[in-house]
Amino acid sequence: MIDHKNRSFRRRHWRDRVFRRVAVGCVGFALLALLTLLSSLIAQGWGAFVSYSVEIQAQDIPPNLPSSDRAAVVAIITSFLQTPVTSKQDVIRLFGADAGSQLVAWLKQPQGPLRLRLSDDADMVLKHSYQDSPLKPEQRKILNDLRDLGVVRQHFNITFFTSGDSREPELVGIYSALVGSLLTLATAFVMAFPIGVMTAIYLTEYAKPSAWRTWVEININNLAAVPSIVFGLLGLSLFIQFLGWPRSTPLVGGAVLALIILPTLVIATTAALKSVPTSIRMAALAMGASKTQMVFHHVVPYSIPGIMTGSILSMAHILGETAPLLLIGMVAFIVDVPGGITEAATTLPVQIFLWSESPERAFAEKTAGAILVLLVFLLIMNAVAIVLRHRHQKTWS
Amino acid sequence: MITPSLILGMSVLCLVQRFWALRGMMKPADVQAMQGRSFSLNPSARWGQVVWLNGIVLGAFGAMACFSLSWETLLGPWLSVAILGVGWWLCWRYLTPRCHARAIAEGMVITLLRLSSLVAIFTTAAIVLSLTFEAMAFFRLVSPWDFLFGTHWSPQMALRSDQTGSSGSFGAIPLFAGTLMMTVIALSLALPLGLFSAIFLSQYATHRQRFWLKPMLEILSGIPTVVYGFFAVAVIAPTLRDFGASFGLTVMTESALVAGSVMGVMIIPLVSSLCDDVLSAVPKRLKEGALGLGATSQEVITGVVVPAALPGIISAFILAFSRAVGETMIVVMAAGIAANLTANPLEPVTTVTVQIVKLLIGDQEFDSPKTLSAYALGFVLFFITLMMNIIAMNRIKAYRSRYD
Repeated sequence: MIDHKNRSFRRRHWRDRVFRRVAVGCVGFALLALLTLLSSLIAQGWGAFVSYSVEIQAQDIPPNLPSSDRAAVVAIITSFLQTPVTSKQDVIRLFGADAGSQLVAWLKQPQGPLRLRLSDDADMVLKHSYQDSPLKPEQRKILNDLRDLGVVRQHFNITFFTSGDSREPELVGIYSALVGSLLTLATAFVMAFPIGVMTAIYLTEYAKPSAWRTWVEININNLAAVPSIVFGLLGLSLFIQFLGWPRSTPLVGGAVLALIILPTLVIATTAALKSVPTSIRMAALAMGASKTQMVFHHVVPYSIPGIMTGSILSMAHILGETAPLLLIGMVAFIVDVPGGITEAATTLPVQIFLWSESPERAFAEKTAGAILVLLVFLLIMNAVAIVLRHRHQKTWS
Repeated sequence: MITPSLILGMSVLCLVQRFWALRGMMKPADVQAMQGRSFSLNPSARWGQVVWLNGIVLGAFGAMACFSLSWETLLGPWLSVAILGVGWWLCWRYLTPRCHARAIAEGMVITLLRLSSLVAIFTTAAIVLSLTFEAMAFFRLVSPWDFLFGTHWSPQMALRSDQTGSSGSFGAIPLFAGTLMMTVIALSLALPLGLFSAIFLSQYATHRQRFWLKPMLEILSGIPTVVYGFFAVAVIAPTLRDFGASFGLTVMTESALVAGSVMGVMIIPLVSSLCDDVLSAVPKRLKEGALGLGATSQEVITGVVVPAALPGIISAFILAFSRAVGETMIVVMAAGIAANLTANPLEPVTTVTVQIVKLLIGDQEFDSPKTLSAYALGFVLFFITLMMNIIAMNRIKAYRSRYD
């Protein structure tokens, strides 16, 4: 009898322990996935922030250079190597597409050593020493010679943060995409924030329980769960086709994103307003404040930290939004920095998507690098939101 | 531009004058005298100043009108005169001691707030209307029956409208099947993992563990889907391919398994945070009652807490489903394009969202069935997620009313 009881007891507690371990394992799996994601992105993307150049001192440059800039680059390198080079094409393809213009710029203002950017293939070989690189054996030999002569330098890839998109992986940068993201986010914020906050104030402070209020609330809750791509369809047919706004611009993108964050913003603001206790309202009314004075002088100021947290989080949410922007044509190839919200632009996540479609290995590295930049931005925004929440959280007693 | 600044300046002057006049009138005797309509008696001589001022303005505009000859240049000044006149009349009519400014201000604020709350309803209406209109246009070209039950999807042919056989074929069954398979793969990963994570967080974790684990999961849910898509293509697909090759299986790079499993990882935090909320909301007395009867914590959870929270958990699952159906970037990047009716998760399939993106990327003509079919697909997508959301919301409401 006791034996049987003990067995059952042991079995039940064994089940308990197994269950607990399964639960721990599931959380562990989620954390492992996060860790894998971040570590693989860092492993792939660190290379986007450094690049290799060849630095040649002024005294090593031969006096009589050919007039063509690319031929001049070849002449400098061959004279520096002091070994015969079979093909000039092999040499020039080791360098970036702007090596000629870099040389011209240096000849105009010869300060410091001449710095020539290496091509993406050479760059990737130096970073990862791939065996299956598209570089020819002769090119590898030239590269190794240059490295042995000590002129190949690694430095921070400033181009990645100062230029726009390009066909050449060694010349690409995220600057124009960042500016596009900023313009789009600003447009979305300007459109969504006032409407969202006013809707929330209306729903929590003014609207009496009625069919109208229920209807608005149902709409908002439902819009919060509508897939973002449906908003993209709406933007395409409403803003571009019906209203005739310019395609591919931060104006349309911002309007679509504003519609996407509107429900989130309303829900966050509603929660912030509801957390202000009734006694505050009562006190204001008792002092003779009108309802509008009560709301805007007392309730809203108290809930500003909550509103700010909610809007920063929703901004972070739409900073990563991609699918609706694809539909309204923000997938353009943007080299220049967009000058306003009615010029064609792209955003950082869309840029990431575009680069990820490119077959070159160097583009995979740039993609991961751009993702790291995006994640840093998201992390900063989330951290600011969390700090705001903790610092200004008021516990009403 | 001189006209707007003139209007502004004159209106401000007019208002200042009127308030000045009012201040003068606010002597008890005047208020007493003002029992009738304000313009029927005009006790203050300062009114004369207002009239004078407006006369000067009118004269100035008249002079401008004389100097300018064309109609366009005349329109501006006269329009401003009209606006000025209306503003002046409004000031004169309503700014009296009996004017209930506070009530008017309140009314304006409420109207403004009510108007802004209309935007949410307008958005829903716009979504429904635009999707319906474009889908109707599509169904005039292609019969709904062929769309919903056809098994062949190749809209690309519709591009060349001058060639024979240009109609393309719009049988969406392969897309629905692909979406379903992707969703099933994602949910079979996300639902158990998410639920057990929530059980750990709400039932086992100490306060400190929660403090650290919750933000971690929030980070996982805050990562943009385009990042997950890149992760799927660059990391998971090669790994799974090599892993499958070691078993002699050919896993395609764009297989449903890759996209589905990464989507599952993406949905885990959603499920776990929703379930965490409902599990934490189960009243403590139920748990303590069960523990007091000698149940182990596993028995408490599976026998008491989870059944009590079941409506909430189910609604979390439904929301996860609608999220998986509507997910776009991961499948656009990691799943296939070709419509492929298969039940093998190792082969590439395509989904509704992938097709919408592929159909609408680039230039669109709003009369070709290729473009319009994207709206028909969007309509189906919206309808499915709408149904799911409504069911989920009702369940949550039922759950709340049970324990509140």
